[in-house]
Formats: sequence, structure tokens, C-alpha cells
Amino acid sequence: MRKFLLLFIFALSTNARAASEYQKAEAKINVVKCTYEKQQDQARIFFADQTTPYSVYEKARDIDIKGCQSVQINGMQYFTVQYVAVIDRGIQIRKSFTYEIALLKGDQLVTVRSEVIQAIPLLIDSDQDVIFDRSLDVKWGRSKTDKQPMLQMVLRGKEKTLPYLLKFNPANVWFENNFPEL
Amino acid sequence: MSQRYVLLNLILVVAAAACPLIGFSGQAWSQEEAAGSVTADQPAQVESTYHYDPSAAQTKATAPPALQPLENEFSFILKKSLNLRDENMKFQSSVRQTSKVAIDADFLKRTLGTHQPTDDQLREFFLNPSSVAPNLEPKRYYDSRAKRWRYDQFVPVHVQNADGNVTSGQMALGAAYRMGAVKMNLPKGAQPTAKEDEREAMAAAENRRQQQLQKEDAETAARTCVTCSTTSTSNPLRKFEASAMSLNRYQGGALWDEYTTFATEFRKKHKTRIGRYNNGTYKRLFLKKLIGKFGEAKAALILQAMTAFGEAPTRFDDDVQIGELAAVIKVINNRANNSYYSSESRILRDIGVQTSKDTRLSVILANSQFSAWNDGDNSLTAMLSFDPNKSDHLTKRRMAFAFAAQQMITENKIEFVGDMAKPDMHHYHANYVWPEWSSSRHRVQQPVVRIVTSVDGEPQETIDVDLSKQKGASHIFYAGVP
Repeated sequence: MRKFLLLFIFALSTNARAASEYQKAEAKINVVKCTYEKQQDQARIFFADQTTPYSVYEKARDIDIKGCQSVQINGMQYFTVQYVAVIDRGIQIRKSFTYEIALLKGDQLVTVRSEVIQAIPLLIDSDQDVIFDRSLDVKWGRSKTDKQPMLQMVLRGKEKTLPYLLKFNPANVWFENNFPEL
Repeated sequence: MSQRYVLLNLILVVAAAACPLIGFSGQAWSQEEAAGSVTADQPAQVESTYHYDPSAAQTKATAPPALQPLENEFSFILKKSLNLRDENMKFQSSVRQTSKVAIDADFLKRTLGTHQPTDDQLREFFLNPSSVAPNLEPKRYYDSRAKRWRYDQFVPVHVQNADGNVTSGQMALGAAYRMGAVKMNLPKGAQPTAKEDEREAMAAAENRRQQQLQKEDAETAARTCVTCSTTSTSNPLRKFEASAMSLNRYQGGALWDEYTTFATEFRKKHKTRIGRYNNGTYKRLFLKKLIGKFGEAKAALILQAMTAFGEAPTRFDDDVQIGELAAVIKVINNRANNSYYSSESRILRDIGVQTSKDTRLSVILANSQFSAWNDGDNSLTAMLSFDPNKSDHLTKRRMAFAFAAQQMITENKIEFVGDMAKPDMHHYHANYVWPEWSSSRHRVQQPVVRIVTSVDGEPQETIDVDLSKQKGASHIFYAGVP
């Protein structure tokens, strides 16, 4: 009886731990100033003391920057930016609220994740104001197994929240969605 | 002693199980640790001329103004509707005993020319208002709940559900159906016990029904029509009924069977209700599983059919529906042959596919191209929620037809006529939006899809479907847009 119970406890704890890969990690996060420079096709952002501009992933116009951060974790330097912009590619013109993460590689800033938090279609003949009712909570951590940076994202709507995980891929190119159930 | 021992062990089990779970759920993260919150400023909302607020409609639940006492003409329509539910509407949307349906009698007078329409008029009105009242123009309104502009014909149909809530508008019946207040009845004999028997049973039931309808039509024509032919049975309602049941007419083949198995397994494992707020995450999970199971090439074929399902408008006529779906598939194929359209896909990057070997995959999932794959899009919800065992009949029909259209294009049973055959036919948009790239110079004036039916490989009949002549929401196609 006792052995069975101990085995049961061990099985339960192992199973639960296997589902969770990330753990908290020391990350240095600072709010930084950033400026936006208009380009013909792609917008460029200058973060604080960085001389190299960052070309945003989303091909968008009328960018309105809502905030920038610098994040230092695992010896790597990331910059994040959240902005509202107009995307006029495709069949619908949409106003999007986007969150992007850039990684400093040498003297280059490259996109490693672009997350559209909310996008609302616009009509050409309307003067409507767009209301974004979603927000995104981002927490930095790292993987228990291979120590790669991980993000715990929580998308918050008016009534519902949606948590999900991102993990920096082994090639250090992109934060990919991490599905513990797979 | 033994009881205490067992109790102590139980406590240990619960505690041991809970500790790692707490860690997993993220409670261990403290607020001061590496946290960031992203919110946008919220400017004041500007209301439009046509403002429809569903929450306002629900607040009227305590005293629904739409449902009147039985004495006036309005209630006559109400009574008539209930009769239709109980006696005549065998296959159409029927309303459960606990629900009430009412139509504004004045509106019926304006659109149908009578306060007391016939049963046939009412049936058609329920199913397709624009076919009965062609002058019923859609109006633009701002849906404050969905935070987007929509089009509706604002037919004053009101459905009062068992809980007292009243829903209004052209799509009220459809919405009530999705919520389970309205039930789609199948004819007797079309309730299969096993999945394999479903098509046979439905086809047999439909055959019996068609024979009965033809007999009734002949009798009616003989009674009412002196000079016209008794062979004419072109009743749009019956055409719809036949269409909804005729899954055997077009079949998706082996790929459709594989997809339905996959979709069933996916929905069985992920039973969470998929909606606008979470369809982006489920999309990535779905795609990762799909590509993992079938490989990129086959997954691209499945996604192509799903995209056609998500993009093409619904048509009750089988041939027209196939034509609409085929046109979307044609655009995807054309784009796949042009590297310009497969440059970047955020979705593929998110699931670990850095460079896709199949150009169709990157074309379909390219950033901001096919809106059905946009996070939060209602079509995306429809695609991911599709469950072959639970989805309604019309949804299932449309998805099956999408796979059928794809197979028919592969087998050259669908041809594209005129400008539709051009390899640079890369663009289309719905007729209620006008993108900046749209110009009349590049517009396909006659978007005709030719369907070649065949028996044992021998061509039997060609059907030309002109997509520009369809009523309601439709696609406008463009060739040669720079």
C-alpha cells in the first residue's frame, strides 16, 4: 500500500513537471526611449543609445509607438517595441496593435518575434476611431531543459485571458510557440 | 491507525500533485520579476448611422417589444411561423417549442406585397431573404461587440428564446441555430447510426423526397397552370433542399477522408470552444499538428481546400458553390507559381517552419494575404471549429465541396474561362470592401467557371457558372494587378 502510494506521488509529480518546461530567470528590463523614422516601405526605429536602426517586421504605415524596453537575459540583449499602425496589404486595410522583439546580433537588430495583439479592419470611406480592448502581459524566463529564453504571454481581453508560451528556437532565430501537449 | 495512515498519505498525494501544478500554472512568477504589460490607448468611439448593439437587444429580454398579442396581423405572422415549424418545415430551419419567431408584418407588406404571405413565401424568406425581396439592400453598421463593420439586410425577424432573450436581424435565425435554439431537422430515414451509412441513408431519403416533390409539383401545376409545362420543378427552395442533401454529387476523395479523420481527432483532443480570442493560438497548434502528420505537401493541399472554405461565399446551388470554391483555389495556385506572394509567413515561423518547401503553404499563410487565416477572424474560427461529426449540414457540405473542387481542378474537371484562366489572376476581394489596389482596368468582367461532369471518364455535360451574377456577398476577381 505504502509503495503504491509513493509510486503514485512520484508519477503525478513527474507528469506535471514534464508538462512545464519553463522556469523563472533573472532578466534585466529597462524602459528605453525610442524614435520612429518614416521610410518608404518599412518603418525604422532607433532604440535609446543604439546607432543601428531596427526595421520593423510588419510592413505598416502611420506607426504610433506605445513603448520600448531593453531586456538582458542569458547574456543576450533584446529590445521590444509595441506600436499601433495601419497595415494596407491584402484585401483589408487594418489597424493593428503589434508587439515586436528584436535581438542585437553584432551591430544588427533582427526581429525574433512579431505578435499582432489585435487587428481591426478599417473601411476606406469611414472616419472611425479604433478601440483596442486587448492587452498582452509578457514575462521573461528560460527553459528548464536547454536554458533557451522563454516567454510567458497572457493575452487579456475584456472578459477572457489566454496564456501561452514562446520559446527561442535552437538556431536563435525566432521565438516559436511552445505547446506542452505536443 | 490504518485510517490515519491512509488519510496522511492522501494529504501527501494531494500536496505532491498540487505543488508542481502551481509551478506549471505560472503562479510562481512574481509581479516584480521581468514583467511587461502592453496596452494601447483607447480613443473615444465614434458611432455610425447604422448602429447595432447586440447587448442592447438582450436587455430587452424582460419586455420583448417584438412579440405582440395574438389579435393583430403581426401575431398572425407569428402564429404562421409556429405552424411552419410544426407542420411544414421538415428540412428547413425549424424553431423549437420553447422559442418564438416573429416577423414585422409591415415589413412583409413592403417587401412581399402582402401582410399574409403564403407558406412558400415564408419558407423562402427564412432561407434566403434576398431571393424573395431582391430590392432588400444590405446596410453597413458597426458591430460594437465584434468591434468591426458588418453588412446586414436588417430584416426585422425576431427570435425569442426559452431564456427570454430576443435576437433580431436577418441572421437571427442563423444565430439561434448555432446556439441550439433552432434545430435543422433531417427527413425521416436520414438519421444514420454509423458514419459509413450516412451518405447512403441521406441519399436514399433525398431520392424519396425528390420523388414526392416532383409528384406534388406535377399535381400543383396541373391544378393551377393551364398553358405551362408540368415538367418544370425549378422551385428555388426545393433546389436548396436537394443541394443541402446531395453530398454524393461532388466528393472530396481520399484527401477529404484523411482530413475528416484528422479534424475529428483534433476536436476530440481539444474540446475548448474556439472563438475570436483564442483562434490564433489554436491555429498554430492545428498547423503544427497538420504539417507534422501529413508533411508539407499534403498539408498544403488540405490548407488550400480549407482556405477556399473560409474565403468563398456560401451558395445553395451545388454548381455555383463549386465554382466559387474553385476560383479561390485557382488564385492560390496562380500565386504559388509566383515567388512574390510567398515571401514571408509569420505563422510558419511561429511553428518552427523557417522555409517552406511547398510554395502553396507559404502563399496561403503569407502575412496579411488570405484574411481567413488572420488571428481573430471569424472564418478562422469556422475552419478550426469544423468537426465532421458535429458541424451543421451546410458547413459540412461546403467543406466537402472545397475538397471536391480541389480534386476536380487536379483532374481537369473544372476549367476557367476567359480572364479567369490567366496565370496572373492573383487578386480578388469581397464586393463590400474596396482595397487600394482594385482598379476596373484589371477587373475580370466575366468570371466564368466551367464544370465538366463525367461518367466513367467520359465527359457528359458542361456547366458554366458566372460568378458575377450571384446575389449577395460575392468575390470580384482581378488579373494583372501590378
